[in-house]
Amino acid sequence: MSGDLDALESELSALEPVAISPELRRGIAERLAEVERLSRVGGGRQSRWWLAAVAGGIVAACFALIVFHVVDIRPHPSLVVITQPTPSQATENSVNSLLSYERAFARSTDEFEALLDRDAKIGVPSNNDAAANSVMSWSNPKVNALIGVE
Amino acid sequence: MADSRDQATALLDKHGAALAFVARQWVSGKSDAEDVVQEAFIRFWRARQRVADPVAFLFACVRNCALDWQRERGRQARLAESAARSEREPLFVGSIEQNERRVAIEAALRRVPEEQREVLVMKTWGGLSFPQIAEALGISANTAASRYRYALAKLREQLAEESVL
Repeated sequence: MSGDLDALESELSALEPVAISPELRRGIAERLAEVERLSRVGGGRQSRWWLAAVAGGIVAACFALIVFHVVDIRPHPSLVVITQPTPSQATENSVNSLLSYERAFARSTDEFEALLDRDAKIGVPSNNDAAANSVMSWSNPKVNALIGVE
Repeated sequence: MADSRDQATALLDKHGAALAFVARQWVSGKSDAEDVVQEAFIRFWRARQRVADPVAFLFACVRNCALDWQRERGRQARLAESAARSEREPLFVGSIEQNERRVAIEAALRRVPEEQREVLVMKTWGGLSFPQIAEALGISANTAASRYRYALAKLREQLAEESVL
């Protein structure tokens, strides 16, 4: 059976279908030329759309840049820098005010003397006259006035 | 552009006759079959770069266009026309010595069921593989192979009956 089928297949393969006519070839060539022409026109339109889209994108980007630039050149709010005193500054500034001496003196003379001694040990830089004047010591007129000595 | 024309010409040189033969499984005359092939080729050409197997797709386009043509013309009209034309327009070319056998094969081929015959035509004269036929017809490769075997068996049976008569 297999041999019969092979023989039949060979016989069928040997048969040649009727060839297509020149009219069909010509008709297909003409239709394909038309298809190509239309695709070129369509492609041109498509490329024009692309150009328009790209140009629109560029314009939008420029507009956005300008807008952001305008926003950015607004005056900046003034900066307020708050510096915390360093530990050494804190020690220097810890020299007591006249009020604290008055309060210490009111409480007891011992406390007043302890406060004076403490400030005398801390000391004040020589180039800082204002601070030097504010340091309390036994020679300070303010202290003398406080304790009633002329 | 020239490359495209060359590609189209090469495809027509290689498959044109088989495509027209495929179309004639559903279309009565050679002229109508060529109209179908022309329409199918244009459809194929527009979509050819998006398909995995262009040759299988080309045969599928011809089949689909032929079926569209058949639907438009109406089955009854097609059958009457087909019977009248088929005697006048041979499917195969051949020498006068082979004429009797050729006519017998053509007659036997017409009696093979349509779904088997289209596989036989695509395989034998279109040179498509079973996977390609499967893709063109939307069936499995195994089904295509089965239909091919049934078509050959039916054809052999028909030819045997004819030789007895």
